[in-house]
Amino acid sequence: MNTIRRTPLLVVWMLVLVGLGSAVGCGGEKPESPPSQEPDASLQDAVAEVEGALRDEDVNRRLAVVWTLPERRDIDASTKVRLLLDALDSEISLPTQATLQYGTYLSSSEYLRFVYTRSLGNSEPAGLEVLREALRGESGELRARAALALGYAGDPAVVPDLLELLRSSEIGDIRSDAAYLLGELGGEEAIPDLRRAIAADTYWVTVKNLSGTTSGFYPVRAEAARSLKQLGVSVELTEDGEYRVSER
Amino acid sequence: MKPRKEVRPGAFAWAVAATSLLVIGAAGLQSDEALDWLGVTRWSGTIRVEVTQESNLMDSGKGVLIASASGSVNLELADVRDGPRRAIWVGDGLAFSATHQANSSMGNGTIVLSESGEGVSQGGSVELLIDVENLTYTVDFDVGDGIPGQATIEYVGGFGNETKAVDLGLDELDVRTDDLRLPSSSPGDLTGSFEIDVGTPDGFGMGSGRKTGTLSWSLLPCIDAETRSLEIDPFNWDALVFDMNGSELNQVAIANNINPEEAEPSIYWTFPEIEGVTLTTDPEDGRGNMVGVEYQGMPEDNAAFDVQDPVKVTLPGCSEVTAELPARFFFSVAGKGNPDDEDVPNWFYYWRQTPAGQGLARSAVRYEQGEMCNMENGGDVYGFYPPGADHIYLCDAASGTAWNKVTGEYTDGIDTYAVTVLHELEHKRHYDDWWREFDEQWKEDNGRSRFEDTTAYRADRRIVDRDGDDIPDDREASLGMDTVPDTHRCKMTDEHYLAWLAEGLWQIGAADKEDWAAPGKQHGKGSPPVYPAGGPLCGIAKTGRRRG
Repeated sequence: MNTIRRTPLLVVWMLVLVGLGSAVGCGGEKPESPPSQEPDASLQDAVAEVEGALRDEDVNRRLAVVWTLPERRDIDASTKVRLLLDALDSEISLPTQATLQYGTYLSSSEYLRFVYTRSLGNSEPAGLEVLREALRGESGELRARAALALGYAGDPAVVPDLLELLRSSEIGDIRSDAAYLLGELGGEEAIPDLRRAIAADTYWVTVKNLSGTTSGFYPVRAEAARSLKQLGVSVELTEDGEYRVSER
Repeated sequence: MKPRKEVRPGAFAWAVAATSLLVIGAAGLQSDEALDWLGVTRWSGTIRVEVTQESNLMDSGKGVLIASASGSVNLELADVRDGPRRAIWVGDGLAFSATHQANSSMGNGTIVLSESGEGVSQGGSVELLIDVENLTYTVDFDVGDGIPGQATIEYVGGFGNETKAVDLGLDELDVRTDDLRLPSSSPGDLTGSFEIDVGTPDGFGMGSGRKTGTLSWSLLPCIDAETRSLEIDPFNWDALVFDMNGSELNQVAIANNINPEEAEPSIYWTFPEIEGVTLTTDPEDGRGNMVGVEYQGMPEDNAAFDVQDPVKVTLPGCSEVTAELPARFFFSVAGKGNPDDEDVPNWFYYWRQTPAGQGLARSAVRYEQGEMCNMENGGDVYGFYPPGADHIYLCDAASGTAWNKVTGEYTDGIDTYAVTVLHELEHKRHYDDWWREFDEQWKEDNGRSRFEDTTAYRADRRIVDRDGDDIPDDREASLGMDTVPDTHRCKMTDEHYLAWLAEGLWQIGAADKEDWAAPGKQHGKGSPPVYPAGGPLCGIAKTGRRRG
């Protein structure tokens, strides 16, 4: 998926929405009027505004727009999800070059993708349908993040996808989110993979601690530990900072 | 010394009635010009007197005293008399601004005898008398006690320092001009000068020398008062910004639609003053339809930018007309020129003085723009707290935009400054509460700094902070934290989560009215983007299924 391909689709989608609205009687109080074939002008303006903001050079402004987009009432849920998917797709294919985001262990681009994913997870039901379409039709990181977003939205149907992501995604932060969501949504079937992750996942992040020296931790192992506890498995944090899982 | 003319008190009402009668009579005797001159009930203008006095300044020396006084006058019609028909306008209670200087050369070397003084006092009177039949006029000026009678002169030099009072003698000055021709236009402005020569009084006492000088006047007849008007060109007065790299602010004040146009040279300006800033105008007296104004230096206090006085232009005269515009002053946000000794940007200097500065003393917050303000791979750092220090640092990013990774709030400008201060102070508090003692003890136990053996230090620290989130294990539970490093899934350590959370103590917009930055909350860019409440990004999910 890419932006060039998606933009016309968005317009077609808006036209369909307008047509459907007329067909089912939404706003159809005046049957003598022919159904409008043009997307609502204010919707177009709102979409154009968001599209512009999502390309803003100021990463902070982009983050604010992404995070608050699900709250907007002037854009329908499906369009909002498509806008976010477009922006996420652009970020994946052309990552923001600024490096570490202040105060987090992720790079700017990784952090943006995380916030896109979390924002998509706040979508309304109609928007979640678009996410499910993406899960079926897309591949690579975009598909992975669609799965995570559905997981954040509380959809247990994505547990198999989350398991697959935990096992094989090459992106540590995606494995970390998958590990966390399996604790939220999964069941017994997630425990073996979480056990494997807690013992062997190598995703390591470095942080500068308050004393001015560096330290670090394993995010996937930490999330796996949390999820295992969530699923009723006893996990102990040892004095050397390792997680020890009980045999059951 | 000529006798004073008699001016009958309360003659004005009578005079107005008499003027009507004279209009008929004068029409038969003279041209219509006479009627016009009599029709003027008021005059307005300025009077100036300059006197040079060859004076005995000391008991054994001579010198020169120069004194001048000028003031604005308003003359009211006081009397109209027959034979020949004359009208008299009188003004008194004049407000003078007087200056006087003294210089002297003594036989035994040069002694600096310089003195200048300035005073404003009330007094003196002016009479304008017009002979409407012969079309002449005279001006009668009496200083009375309108100018200070004495000046204090400080003698410095070979005779030692000494201060003496010298009699200026101006309080006795009473000048009446010869008969002067009225201008051909009627009624027109009366402008002229008259040479004064009082002569040499007897005696050799101090201040007894000969006085010569000039009396000059400029009087405008008060006619068409209702049509007088002027305006200020509004160009830029609402957004004056101190220069980016220096501390100057230059502006040209222009008056438009001046009516009458001839009054243009007499209009004068007053400009708002800013405490701690030098204000100069070109021309110096601020007169004219176009005046340059320069503010040099920047104020010490942020509050000084909150200027209440307007820029004002006045068309003086019979019916004074003024025009005003509010003027608003700002500092260039990234510029310099502020009074701080350490060459810091204006935002850093002025915002600390607002509520955004959290009451921090200047010594508790420092400006940094070096490597510490860049993340290892190039990202911006807003601020930092060096472990163990008694102060925090702020970087340029603290004046820009930010997005809180915990609360989801977007900030810019002074709000970003405020939240950055809170954020770094929270780090400092955590270090002081949790790690200062540990680090000092570790150094004592190991005989070296933690930076000299980070591996050993990291291992020992892990014992009390097993999950590596910078919060000691024994504090985790009371802070609502789990034994994972990122309890709230914010992609940061739990300690950093608390620092982000502390930013929420700041109420966005709370310092807007004290932000005089350009661009800033009251200048230029208008309101920053307002985003709907997105809710916290981490900690509490907005939607979705959460357990426990």
